Amino acid sequence: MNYKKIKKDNYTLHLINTDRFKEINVSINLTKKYNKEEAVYLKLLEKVLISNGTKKYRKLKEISRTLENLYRSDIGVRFTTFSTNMTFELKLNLINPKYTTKEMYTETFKLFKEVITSPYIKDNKFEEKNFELEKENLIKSIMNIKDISEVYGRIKFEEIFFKGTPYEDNNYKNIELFKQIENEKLYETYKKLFTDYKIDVFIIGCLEEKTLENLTDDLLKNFKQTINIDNVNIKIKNKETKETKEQTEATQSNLFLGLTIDNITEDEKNYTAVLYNTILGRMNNSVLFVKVREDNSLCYSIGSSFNRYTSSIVIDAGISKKNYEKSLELIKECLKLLEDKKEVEKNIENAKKTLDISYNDYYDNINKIVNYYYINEISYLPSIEERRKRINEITPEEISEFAKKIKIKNIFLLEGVQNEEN
Amino acid sequence: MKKINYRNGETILKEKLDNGLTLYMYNTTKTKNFYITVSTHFGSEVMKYKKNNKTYNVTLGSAHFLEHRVMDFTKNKDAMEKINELGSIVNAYTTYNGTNYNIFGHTDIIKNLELLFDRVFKANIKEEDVESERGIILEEYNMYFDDPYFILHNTLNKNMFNNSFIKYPVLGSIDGIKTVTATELNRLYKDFYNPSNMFITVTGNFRIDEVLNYIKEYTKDLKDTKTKAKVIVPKEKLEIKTEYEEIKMDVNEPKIIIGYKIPVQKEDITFKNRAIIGILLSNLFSSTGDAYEELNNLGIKRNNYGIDKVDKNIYIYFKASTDKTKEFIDIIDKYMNNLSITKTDLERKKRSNISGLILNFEDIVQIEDIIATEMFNYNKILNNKEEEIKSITLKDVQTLLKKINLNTKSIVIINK
Repeated sequence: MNYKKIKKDNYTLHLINTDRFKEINVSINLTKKYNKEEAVYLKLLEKVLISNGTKKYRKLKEISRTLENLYRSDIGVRFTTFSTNMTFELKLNLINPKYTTKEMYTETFKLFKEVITSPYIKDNKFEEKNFELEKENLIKSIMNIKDISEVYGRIKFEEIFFKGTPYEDNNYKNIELFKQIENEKLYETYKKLFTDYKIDVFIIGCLEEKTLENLTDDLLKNFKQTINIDNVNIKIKNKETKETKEQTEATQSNLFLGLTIDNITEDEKNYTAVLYNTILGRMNNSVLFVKVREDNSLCYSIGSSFNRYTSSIVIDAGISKKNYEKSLELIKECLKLLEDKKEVEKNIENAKKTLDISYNDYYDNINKIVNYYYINEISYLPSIEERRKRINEITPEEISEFAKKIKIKNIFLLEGVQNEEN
Repeated sequence: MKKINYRNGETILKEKLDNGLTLYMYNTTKTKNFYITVSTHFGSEVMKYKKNNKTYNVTLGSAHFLEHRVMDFTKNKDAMEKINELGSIVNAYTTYNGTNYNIFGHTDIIKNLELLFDRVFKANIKEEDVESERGIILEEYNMYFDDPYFILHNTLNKNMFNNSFIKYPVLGSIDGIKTVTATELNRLYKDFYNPSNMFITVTGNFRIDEVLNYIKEYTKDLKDTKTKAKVIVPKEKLEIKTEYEEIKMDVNEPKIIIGYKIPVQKEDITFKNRAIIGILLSNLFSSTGDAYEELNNLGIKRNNYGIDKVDKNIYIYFKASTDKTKEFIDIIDKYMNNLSITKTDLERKKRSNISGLILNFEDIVQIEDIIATEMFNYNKILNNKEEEIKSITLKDVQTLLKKINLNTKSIVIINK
């Protein structure tokens, strides 16, 4: 795999040349500081941009049929938040032209450019009917989050745990803002894509580099770059431990615990916390899995995840409401257990091996590779091999000392009130 | 060893062992990892079977329960410890057609094979382990039954079919989970987990000779049962049980599913015919189609469809989250009653399907999944899919359409 970074006047081109994949993936990542009001518009723009049609292809089905004719190429739009920043991603996937025809480079880029730069616009608005339908659809989709209790439980938990940070925001909470979206303002938001963002283009595959560079230059020739990104690291502002419950019309209950880490160092963020979290709730026989599920049959699912930007860990479990107290007690025991070096010794080498396999998987996954280079453009993430090396050096003492820095800040139960049939 | 060659230059190796066990291997140096699976053609579709002149009823959900107990790494601490020392990831799943046990690893493939084989080929289920597993499976059951889409599918299956296995979810029933015994699970294991009913797949980075020799050595003493269990497939009537049902549930927006049960002759259940139906539906109901556009224009955007095979029926469903359920039914009806395709659209769809095949060999888990799915559905590997798709003509489409009866339909709606 050969990585090349080329700084252009108006964007940065990242070429990742590898013969590992038969497809070519082009991602134009537009990044700027998170702003709630604009984020709401970008979320709708994600839905509208392709379905709106273009000057040449007035209907979505014409675009879709053209893509099928281009050997099932794909164009996608995705809006995500990245800690304190937000990303509007425009994506093109094509089968490497060496397996189809050479013209596919120019043909797919022509369509990609048409979709991005020439949407059908009338009176400074997107096509009115499609706009209204997409807006209504998005609002309904967001409201439907409540139908899936695990997802609903997570966002309600995050509103509490991440209060005062961009992570507390979610579409469900911002539903009134979605209802107020106006077509003209959506078009204004669209126009800002050409002027207000940091622009990075990642192209991965077995590449004809010069051809792709020229095509990208042409595609972005009317874009101007503005660098306005924020420090990605956030401090969680919770002072005291809180326990909250909410009820839902479900059978299963969802338990979430938010953990903060006192005075976390950069080294701990990059390595120790990752290994700790693997032992706690990621590996096959993680401490949580064995104690809560296997030894006590209290849940079907349990796990944990570490967020490096908020220096926090979230534990989640699908449980029966009658098992709430017992599950909580066992989770607390698991956290305490890892403060003991001897307990850590039992799992640490296995956790390192688990991480090894996931690091190997990185080389097989286009999205993971692109994401690594993207994160390094906005923040810093050590390379896979640096992570593998340093994690292999971590001792049980380091993990047990790290465990002592962890505090439970929030406990949230989304309680299923339907009768359980067990 | 037989080579199964694909037009794109890829090759899968096949070896049939003396005891009837089949081995498939796909070797590549593009990845550092490997993926090993052992599968049995025993899934939740088996509700009754005959062996040695004795008929057995199978407790609902037994195949899935058995999967939990065969993959007993977590109860077998020693084996789990060894798996973790290797850093491998273990998993298993049950479908209606079969059960699959897998390990994703990166170091010492022989040790991984041994650990997986020791579980799958040497299972011995104890009553106390069955008892402790019930709670976990009941939680899993509750998790699924909180999902309105799962309820929608489950109710449709129950309403469309009279006697078929698909009336019940793979997990079975609360009663089944509560009552299945270790004795029954051990009997099912003995009757269905025998070599000629199973296959092994190894994909990824490994030495072919080393893996082949080990598998031959390990499995040489596994004896196929002399008497095969004969699955008794209940006779399914053409008519459906319930044509329409409304369910009350606390959902934000109504959900609807429409199912078509299309009986076909056994010889018509082929990859080519499934591909034709896939093309016909995609041409109308994917983003390239007129039906998709019409639904979108009414604001029915959150919808999708699927095709499956249930016994000797092709089963098609359409589902949506919408308050315009009547309009949804009308549009689906209108297009389903006029299924057709032009030559231009057919050629475009064929080209698109063939393009998809180029990317089939990118990921070792996906390759295994294709092998397992084809084995579960057709009991063979389909290496001629490209030719089959290329060969589809308008005449083939018309011939199949003449055989299809779309009158057997059922609808389920979930309302607040």
